[in-house]
Amino acid sequence: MSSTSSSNQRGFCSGHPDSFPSFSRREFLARNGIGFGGLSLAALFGINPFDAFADEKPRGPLAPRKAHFPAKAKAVIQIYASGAPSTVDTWDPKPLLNQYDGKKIPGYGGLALGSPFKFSKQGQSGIEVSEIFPELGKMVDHLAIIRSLTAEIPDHKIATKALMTGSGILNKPSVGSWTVYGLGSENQNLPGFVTLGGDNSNRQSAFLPGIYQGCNVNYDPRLPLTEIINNISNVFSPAERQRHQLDFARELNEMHAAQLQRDAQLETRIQSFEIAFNMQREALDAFDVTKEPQAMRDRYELLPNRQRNPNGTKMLIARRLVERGVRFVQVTTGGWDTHFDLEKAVRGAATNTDRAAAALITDLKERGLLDSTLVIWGGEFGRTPTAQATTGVPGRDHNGKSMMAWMAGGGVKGGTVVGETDDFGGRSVEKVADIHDLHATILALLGFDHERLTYNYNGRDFRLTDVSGKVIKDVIA
Amino acid sequence: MKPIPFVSLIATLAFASFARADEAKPTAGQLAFFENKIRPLLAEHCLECHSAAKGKTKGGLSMDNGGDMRRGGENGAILKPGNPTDSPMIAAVEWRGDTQMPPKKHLSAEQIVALKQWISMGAPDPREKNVSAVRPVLDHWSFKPITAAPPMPAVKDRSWVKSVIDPFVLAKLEAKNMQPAAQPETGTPDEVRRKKEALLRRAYFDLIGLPPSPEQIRAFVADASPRAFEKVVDELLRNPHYGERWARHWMDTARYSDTGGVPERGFDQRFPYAWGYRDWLIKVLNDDMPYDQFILHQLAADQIASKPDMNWAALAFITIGQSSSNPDEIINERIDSVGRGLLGLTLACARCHDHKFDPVTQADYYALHGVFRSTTQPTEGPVIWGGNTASREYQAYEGKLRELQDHAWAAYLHIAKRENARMRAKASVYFQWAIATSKNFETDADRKALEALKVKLGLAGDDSYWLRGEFAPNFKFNGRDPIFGPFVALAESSAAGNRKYFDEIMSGKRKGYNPVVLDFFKKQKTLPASVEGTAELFARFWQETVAPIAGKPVDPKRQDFVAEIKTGGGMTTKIWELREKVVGHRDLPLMELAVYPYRLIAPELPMRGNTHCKPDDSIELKLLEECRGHDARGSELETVGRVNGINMFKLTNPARPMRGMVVEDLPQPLDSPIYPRGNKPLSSDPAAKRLVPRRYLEAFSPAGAKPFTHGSGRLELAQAIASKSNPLTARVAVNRAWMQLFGEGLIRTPDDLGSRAGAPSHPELLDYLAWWFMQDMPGKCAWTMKPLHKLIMLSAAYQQSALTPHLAEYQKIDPGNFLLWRANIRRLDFEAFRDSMLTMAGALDTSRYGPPVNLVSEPYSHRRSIYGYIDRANVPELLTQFDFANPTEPNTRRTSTIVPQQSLFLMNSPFTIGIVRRIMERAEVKVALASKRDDAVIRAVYQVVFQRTPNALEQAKAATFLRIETARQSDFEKQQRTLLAKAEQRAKELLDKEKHASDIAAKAAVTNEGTLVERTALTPWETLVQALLFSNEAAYLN
Repeated sequence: MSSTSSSNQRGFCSGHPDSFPSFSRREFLARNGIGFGGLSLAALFGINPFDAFADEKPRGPLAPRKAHFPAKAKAVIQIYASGAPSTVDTWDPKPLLNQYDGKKIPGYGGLALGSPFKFSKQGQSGIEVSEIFPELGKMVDHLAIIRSLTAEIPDHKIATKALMTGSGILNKPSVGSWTVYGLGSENQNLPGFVTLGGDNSNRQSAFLPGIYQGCNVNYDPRLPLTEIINNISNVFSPAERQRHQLDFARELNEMHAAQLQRDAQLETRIQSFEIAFNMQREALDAFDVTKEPQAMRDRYELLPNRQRNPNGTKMLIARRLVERGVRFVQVTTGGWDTHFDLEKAVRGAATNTDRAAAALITDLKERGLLDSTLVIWGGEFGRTPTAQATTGVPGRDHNGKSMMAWMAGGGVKGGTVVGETDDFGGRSVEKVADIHDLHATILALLGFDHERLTYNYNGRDFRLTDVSGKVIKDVIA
Repeated sequence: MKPIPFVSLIATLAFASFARADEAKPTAGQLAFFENKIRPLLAEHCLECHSAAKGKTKGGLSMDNGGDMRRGGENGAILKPGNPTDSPMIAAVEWRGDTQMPPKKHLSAEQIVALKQWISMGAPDPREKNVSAVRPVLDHWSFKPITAAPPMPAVKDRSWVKSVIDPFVLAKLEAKNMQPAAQPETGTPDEVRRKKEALLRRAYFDLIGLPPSPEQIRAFVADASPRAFEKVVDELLRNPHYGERWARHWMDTARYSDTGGVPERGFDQRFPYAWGYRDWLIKVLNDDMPYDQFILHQLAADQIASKPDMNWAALAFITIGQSSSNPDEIINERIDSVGRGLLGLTLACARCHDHKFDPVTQADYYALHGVFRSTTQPTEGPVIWGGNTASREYQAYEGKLRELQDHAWAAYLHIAKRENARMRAKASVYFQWAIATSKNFETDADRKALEALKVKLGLAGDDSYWLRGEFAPNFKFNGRDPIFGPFVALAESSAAGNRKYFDEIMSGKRKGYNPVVLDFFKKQKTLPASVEGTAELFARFWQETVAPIAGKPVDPKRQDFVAEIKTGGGMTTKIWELREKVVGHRDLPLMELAVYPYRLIAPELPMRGNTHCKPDDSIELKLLEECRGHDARGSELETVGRVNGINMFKLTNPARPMRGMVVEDLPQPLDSPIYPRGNKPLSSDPAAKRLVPRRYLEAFSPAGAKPFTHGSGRLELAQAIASKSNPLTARVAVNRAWMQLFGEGLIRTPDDLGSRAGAPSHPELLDYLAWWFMQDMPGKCAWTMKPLHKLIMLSAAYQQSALTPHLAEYQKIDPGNFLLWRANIRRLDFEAFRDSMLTMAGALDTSRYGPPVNLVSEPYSHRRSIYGYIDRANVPELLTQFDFANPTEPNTRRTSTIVPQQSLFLMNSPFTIGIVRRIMERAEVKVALASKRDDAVIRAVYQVVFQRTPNALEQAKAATFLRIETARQSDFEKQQRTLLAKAEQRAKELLDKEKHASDIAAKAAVTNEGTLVERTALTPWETLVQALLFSNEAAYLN
């Protein structure tokens, strides 16, 4: 049992926007990232306890905060293409590669494997898009395609961790955790950072307070909604009765707090009951896609073969969450580890993304949310332009020297291509950017100077981009 | 660094400085200066970018040691020893030229002066040459010896002082003109009563983790004698629940878990005997085993008593950590636990480089590495209690265990043999299936085609291993498999349009294939060009080549039979040779074929640190690792359920003996080399030959200290720690005791007292307590904990109220209450809160010791929370929501957060509902109900929940609440009926699923006996009691 009174160790450092008051990291390693706002900061950190009652704006670690400078993006939906998508088959056409098909490429080991897919110019921008993205192709004027990324170590586990946290080895906070740490959340009744699938390290808050950890929801249409969050369902008593109980408990707590000189943490706990009460309704509602019109569900979920695509459902949930003020949503999609049987494998993975992602962009746009929502798509590294030495129908091997991502919405300059790879698409050569640069750019789109969004831990100011990171300015409108 | 002009000049300087580097040895004073001023500065501001050890040398500059510093970077030297003004480093830190360092933050004037002074001295740097050179102990408070009691400070208000502790506390307050909060015996009778109630509650939770009963409160309030509180403390220290409370605190430190972590590659990680350690802790803490003994046993009980006894359970402190397949990770985890757990030092920081802040060198780390490298763990520990061999139950248990083990082994063999035979018999069909399913098949058309093929090939239930793709989980059916590979390559040549891959195999360009297979192919005159044709050839291969030897496989019972084939990556000749050497079998290829694809090895191989594994024999180790890996994959078979079943059986059978999770020393202990940057050097690397002798931390050892000589050195290590001359051990212990009693320690990082920890709030008090703790005194033995607790609790500092008239003012001066101007208001931790709910329910099972229970699932256990089963890989959400300590590393300090899930637990969990209903079932409540007087019932439930009488206002509010709820009861019942019925069905379903789960690996380790909480609507009374449980009063101490 630990006391509530805070230590004077430094927590948030002066580099934090809004000059967040200092508190101890240890004070408050909540293990779950579930909503928490409206709680008084004082109660949590034992400082300025009287401020807790001073105004009614949500305070505390999830209260909305301003970034360093004005920016359009207020929320992020990160679509993680797990497995590392091929670049030359998706967003980086390489005609020369096809000419070399089956032959040795100068400067590469192995034989060229041409892309089996046709590319054609799309949209006003005339960017060439692979035939496997018929719907996303129509969105190309919203996309900024970064072709010149690199990944340090093309191993799935390490590179994924690096993509999510900036470090493949050490335990660092994830991009989503940094984002909510920086901006708080707009909805105090839902977690600020929600992940739909993926490893723990994709959502870890590491040394940031636990409230910033992603709350993972293993959305499974076969499970009752009431089981997605522990004890979320008020089975024994109707809401009306619970309301009465809470009101009664609040009166008792008032008397109790008066006896204890209104210790601020007591008020925090009272409020946490209020949040819990609201969460029962809000969380269940947010995850309930059956509340969407069938036509909307079809837009996201239907595959060309009329089957339902779970990725579509997750992206629809992502939109529902962002709409409710959740700051950062991460959707993990798979199928991109295409070592074998290139055409079939890549087409399969693309099909499971195409309509769903296009529906997400259109839907956000129709709701006026696209301008304020940054959508990011990409995997952990790229793949070789050469054939993987296997028997049977070949695919592509891991490649860290080139990888790509696209962004849309929230302050992104649509219809742009940034960077170049060499003639065969295996190496980024122009405007080469690494994972730190990508992170710096995401933070910039959210209004942060990545060098100033810091957290003091173990006597050092840590940041998402460690000691590097350059904003890829070309993607910013 | 950007280029700076006059490179040639600087190069000259660099040369000059090299010449100086070997001059006179630095004096002790100079070294101390470096340690205090320069090392921390470099660590904090420079090494992040300029450290070869950290892998970052911007501008080609490393500042890791004296040699590096003198060499300088791309732009030449940075130091001109003796001449700070001309040293480029000074120009850089003064931001005089183009190079401005550190780039983001100007050093303080003080730091720059220190650097100049240091360069004036000639830049003496103890880090150069020999990393294990003796360094002076840093001038940090926790590193100084504790030789005498610090003098008691003088205070003005002597009347406040109740114990030796109080002058230390009061002096600090008086220095700031602050007054401590009131003592319990002062004020109006009503105030005294309230303060005494609060104090008693505090003492009960602090010492035994349970609330006092209303009678105990009444008795204490009524006892006006000056010794009233002392009597209570004495009683509580004698209460056997004391051990349960304080053992749980130590379990946070000792990273207690009932599992080793995530089932690695399917390998069962349950510890069937972890709870023996927990029970040992409860017992010895109740017995007040002196803390030095407590440490000695946990590190070296096997060397204190030569025959296994119950104290050997203590050795689990070493073995209970996170599992890993990498022995260095296990060693690191153990060093870390000794460091943070016992010494309050982050020793693991020195794994890759010298500790950046504390006087711990990398050599120190590898000296301890040798200790733990020389410490192994038997697969099955000795019996340390229980297991009455004469008893019928015990014999039945042993018999059943043997049966299970034999059965697991037999089952594995049976499956392996059956499936091997099946594969040979249906080789052609299986081959075609494997080729078809090795491709991506994602579309419906693909799936339909596959379904059609299945029908065509006549695959059915008997072929399930193949159909589920589990036939040979050890390899992928691809071209790289040593036996299947050439066939796969040939079959796929048609799809690939050429036979290149196959030809490369046959020509020997691709290596690692079984020569018997290659010979078979060489004998073929023509090769088929279709999958079907290849499948026929594959079938023929088994008939012609393997059938003749199939009858005489190698004896599978041989434990050392490790003919394991690493697949997927191809085989190197080297591994073939090694394998032949270890297995001692000439015709390996044939042997491999005979047992293909299921290898016939023991399914229950030793897990880690096993006795057969000699860490110096990396070859054998590697092979054993492979075996283990293989066994893990075997887990995908039904066998594994049985292997896991064995651990479950050991965990749950009441007749099983308790075996210790013990360690033992290698017969020939080994020293370790320093791993450059933490990476194990290859045996060919000269670094591998540079061994560090096993010894204690050099900076904390007396001059002329010798390396350890006794076995691994564990006992000597333990003695160095559990020593009065160790400056850290006692300070760590008393600070933790203080923390558990006050909510915060005198130093608030209880697992790190190193130089980054800052200064304690009351350094002299901490030292006084540490000194006192280690003394033998009349009525108290050295190192005993209970007298320390009593000393602290009888202080005015402990007994003061949480309320103070100066709150607003003092919050501004000292918001963290470092100065102890009042008692902290504290939320109950998970265990105390759950146990107090069970106490209110009158349902707490007060029995002590025994196997773990399930804390989170229905049917609920009513045992104290310390008896909960903890799986470190999957700590129950409920516990993490209530800030349970992460059991992966030492975590003595619990955080205290408030998250809405805690509220949801009280609002909606069946556990809470069960508690509420049991409160209404209590005898005193039933009596009140029978009286038909609502006020009597309200009084009764208030006594149960808050251990006090409600006042008139509270009575009135409760009565109103009740009236409203009663009026709406029938509506609410109706409203919830369907939901409740559904919930009940779902709960039954889940329980049923759990009971009948065939996959033991996925089963909850422990399921309690009992019944489900009834899914029926609450009554108005229950609704009221639940609302009382929501209140802060039930969750806080003040």
